[in-house]
Amino acid sequence: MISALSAAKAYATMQKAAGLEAGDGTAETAGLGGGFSDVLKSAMTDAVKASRTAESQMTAHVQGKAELVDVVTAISAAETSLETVMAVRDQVISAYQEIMRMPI
Amino acid sequence: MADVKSLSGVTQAIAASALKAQQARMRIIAENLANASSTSRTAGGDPYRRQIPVFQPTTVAGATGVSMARVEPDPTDFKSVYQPGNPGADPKGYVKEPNVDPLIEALDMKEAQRAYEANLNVIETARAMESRTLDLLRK
Repeated sequence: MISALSAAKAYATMQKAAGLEAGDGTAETAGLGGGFSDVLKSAMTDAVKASRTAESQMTAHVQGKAELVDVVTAISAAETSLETVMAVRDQVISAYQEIMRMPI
Repeated sequence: MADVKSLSGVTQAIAASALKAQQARMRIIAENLANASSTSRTAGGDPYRRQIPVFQPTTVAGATGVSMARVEPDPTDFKSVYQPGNPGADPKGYVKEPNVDPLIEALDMKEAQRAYEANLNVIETARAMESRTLDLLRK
């Protein structure tokens, strides 16, 4: 996991350096990098929010304040969004690794 | 569910609203069956009147779900049974019995059960479709 993360970081640094060297491509590269991290961040925020909702629903159900149906749908939504974020993250990291393995 | 964005989430929210509606219907059926022999406590008075749940389309997560709008009394006549010793009997000795037919309630219950199962299947299928799509990313 650590190696994958460092690969991603290295890739990002390289991308930034390449963008600086290219000159006119800087804004675009930076925009793309920011775009992806923004997407991942917002997906993660959504997942965290969904799991918070699920947790509060669970607590409410234990206290007898929420319907079982609501609890189950909240947990299911949290599970799905977390799974989506994980799948996307795995895919991206494997792409980074693929690029890192490329012979230069 | 406060904010549902994904289409699958909306599907599940709608099915969940139907599950809640069916549970509410089950509550009414339970009330009817429990009071199937609740006669009047005063002489010549009316016994328990059967209740009927009324469903209505409701906006759930931006789509049309369902909810129980109200509960209406069943206007059909009560059965009269000759029971002079009953405290609820009228001067002629007849007691009004609730217009609850256990057979109808049992069928209603079966219908609620089937509808509940159908909506559970909707949730299950929606989830399966979503997770199958996600499987495309995994190798």
